[in-house]
Amino acid sequence: MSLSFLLFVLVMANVGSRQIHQAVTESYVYSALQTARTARLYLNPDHIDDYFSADGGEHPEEYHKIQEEWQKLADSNSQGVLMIYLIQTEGENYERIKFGLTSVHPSLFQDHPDLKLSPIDSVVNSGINQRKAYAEIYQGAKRAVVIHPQQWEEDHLTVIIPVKTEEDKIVGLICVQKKMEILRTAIEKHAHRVMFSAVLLFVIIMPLFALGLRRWLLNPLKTITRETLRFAEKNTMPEAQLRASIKMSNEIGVLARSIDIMEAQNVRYVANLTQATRKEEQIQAELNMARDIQLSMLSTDFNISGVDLFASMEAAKEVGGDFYNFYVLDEDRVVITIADVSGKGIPAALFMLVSMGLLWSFIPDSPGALARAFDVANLWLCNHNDSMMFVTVFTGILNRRIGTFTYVNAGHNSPLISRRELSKFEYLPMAQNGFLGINDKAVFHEETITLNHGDWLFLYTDGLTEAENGENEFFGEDRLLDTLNEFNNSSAKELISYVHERVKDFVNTAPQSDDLTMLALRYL
Amino acid sequence: MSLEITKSVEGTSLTLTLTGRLDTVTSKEFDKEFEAAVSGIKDVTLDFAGLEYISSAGLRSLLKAKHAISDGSIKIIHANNVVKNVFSMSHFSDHIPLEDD
Repeated sequence: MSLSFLLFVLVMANVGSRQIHQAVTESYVYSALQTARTARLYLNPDHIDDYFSADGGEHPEEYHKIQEEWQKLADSNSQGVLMIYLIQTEGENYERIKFGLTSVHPSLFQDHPDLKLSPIDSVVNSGINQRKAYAEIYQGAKRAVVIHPQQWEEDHLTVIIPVKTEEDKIVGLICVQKKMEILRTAIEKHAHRVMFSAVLLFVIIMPLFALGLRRWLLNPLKTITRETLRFAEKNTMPEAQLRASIKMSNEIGVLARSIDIMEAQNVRYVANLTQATRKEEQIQAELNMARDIQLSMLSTDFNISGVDLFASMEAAKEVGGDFYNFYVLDEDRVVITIADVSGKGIPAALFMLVSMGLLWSFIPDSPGALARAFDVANLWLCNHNDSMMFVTVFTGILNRRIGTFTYVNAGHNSPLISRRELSKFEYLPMAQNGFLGINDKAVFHEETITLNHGDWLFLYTDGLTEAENGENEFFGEDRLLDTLNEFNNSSAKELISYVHERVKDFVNTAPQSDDLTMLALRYL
Repeated sequence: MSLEITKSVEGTSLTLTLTGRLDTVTSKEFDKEFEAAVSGIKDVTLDFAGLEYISSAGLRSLLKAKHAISDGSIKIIHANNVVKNVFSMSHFSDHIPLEDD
C-alpha cells in the first residue's frame, strides 16, 4: 500500500515538473523572442556589414549606439540573459558562422570565468543543431526558431530570428541565448516541495490511518475472532461480552452484538437440549428396566415333566400388555395362563401384574375354585379401576396324572386344541365369560375337558389374529387354523417358531401394531 | 386420520356415526369428541355402519363413554361381523348392547 502511494507521489512530481517546465520554457522563449525583436529594431539591414567590423565600419556612431542599447538589453533582463549576438552563416549547409555585434550579461563571466568570446568577424564551425535551426530560417522561412537545451547540463535556450532587408532578403541572424537557471531551480524546488509534502503526509497520515485501521477494524476483528474460537471450543458464555469492548455502530459492531446474541442462544439451547436428552435417557432407562422386570416375570423354565411346553412374547412397544405364565402347582398339576390387557406400555403392565397377582393368590385346591378365584379377582379389580382398564385371561389347570384340563376363559381368544387321533386343530368353544375389571356383577364359569396323551393345546392373544399386512388384511382365525394344521407336530418350540414365521411373512414390512404372544403345550 | 365422527343431536339424544377404525390412536380422538358432545345428553346411539375394526383400546373408550353417561343409556347399531365377533368373544355386549335393525 505504501509502495503505491510512493509511486503516486513520484508520478505527481514528474507530471507537475513537466508542466512547470513547459510553462516556464514558454515564458522564457517569449521573453527571449521579445528581446531579440527589440534588438533587431535598432539595426539597419542595409548597414549590415558595418556590424561585422570591430569599429563599426562606415557608421561607427550607429554601431556604438547599437552596442550600447544591446548591452542595456542584456543587463536589464532580470531573468538573466546570457547573450545577444548577430551572426552570418557561411557555406551551403551553414557549416560556419561569423560573429558580429555581441552583448553579454556580466554574470556570464561569473559562472564561466574561463570563457573567451569569439572576436567580431571571426568564423567558427557551427554545431549540428544550429545548422538545422539556420536551415529552418533560410529555407523554411520561419520567423523564429528555438533551440532547446538538449541535455540537462545545458541550461540555456537559444532563440534565432532573421534580419531582413526591405526586399525580404535575409542578411543576418540575431541570436538570443537565455539561461534557464530559474527554470531549473523552480523545477527542482517544485519536485522537492512535492516530495517533501508527500513524505510529510505519508509520515503523518499513514500512521494515523494504520492506527485507525487497527483500532476500528483489525483489533475488533481480532477480538471477535478470538472470542469465536474460544466459544467454539468451550461453549460457555464469556466473562465480558463483545459488546462491552466493541461499541461501534457499523458492521463490526453489528457482528459483535450478533455474536453475543448467538452465543447466549446457543448456550441456552444446548442447556435445554442436554436437559431434554437427560430426561429422555432417564425415561428410556426406566422403560428398559421395566421391560427387564416384565420379561423376568415371564416363566422361563420350560422344563416341566409330563408336557412339552413352549411360549413366546414379542412386545410391540418396550413394555407390552400381554402376558403368559406357567408353573407347577403341585406334583400333579400345572397351571398355564395367557392374558391380554387393554393397552400397552407401563400402565398395561402394572394392571397386568395386579390382575395376575390377584388371580394366583386365589388359585385353587379344589375344582370349582378356579372360577371363584376369577370372581374375587374381578371384583377387586372393578373396585379399583378408575382408569377403565380391563384384561382378558385364559387360565387352565392340567392334571398331568389323569389328563383333566379345567379352564376359565375370561373374554379371551379361544385356544385351539388338536386331538391326537384326529391330528387336526380346532377351536375350543367360545368363552363363556367377559373380561376382568369392568362388570362387578360378573359370575365366572369354568369348563373341564380331558386330554389324551399326544393332544395339543395352542394359546395366543389377538396380536396374532389381528396382525395386519400393508393392505389392511388381518391374519385372522382361519389362517391361524390352517397354519397350525400345516404343522408337522414335532415339538412345541418348533410349532411356536413356525407360526411366528408365518405371521412375520404375512405382515411383511408393515409395522407391528400389537404384542404377539403364544403358548403351545403337548400332553405327553 | 383413520376415524371420522359425525354428530347429530335431537334434544337429549346424541347420535355419533363412526367411520374407519377405533384403535389405540383413534380412540383418543373419540374420547375427545365424546367428552365435548356429551353435556346435557341422556341417550347415546353409536352408529358403527362404517366402523371396520375395533381394538381393546377402542373397547376401553366405549367403557369410558358408558361411564360418562352413567345415568343415561348407550347402545350400538349397525355393527359389522368383525365388531360383533369381538363383542361376543369378550362378552362386551354385557356392557353396551348391540342392536340389529
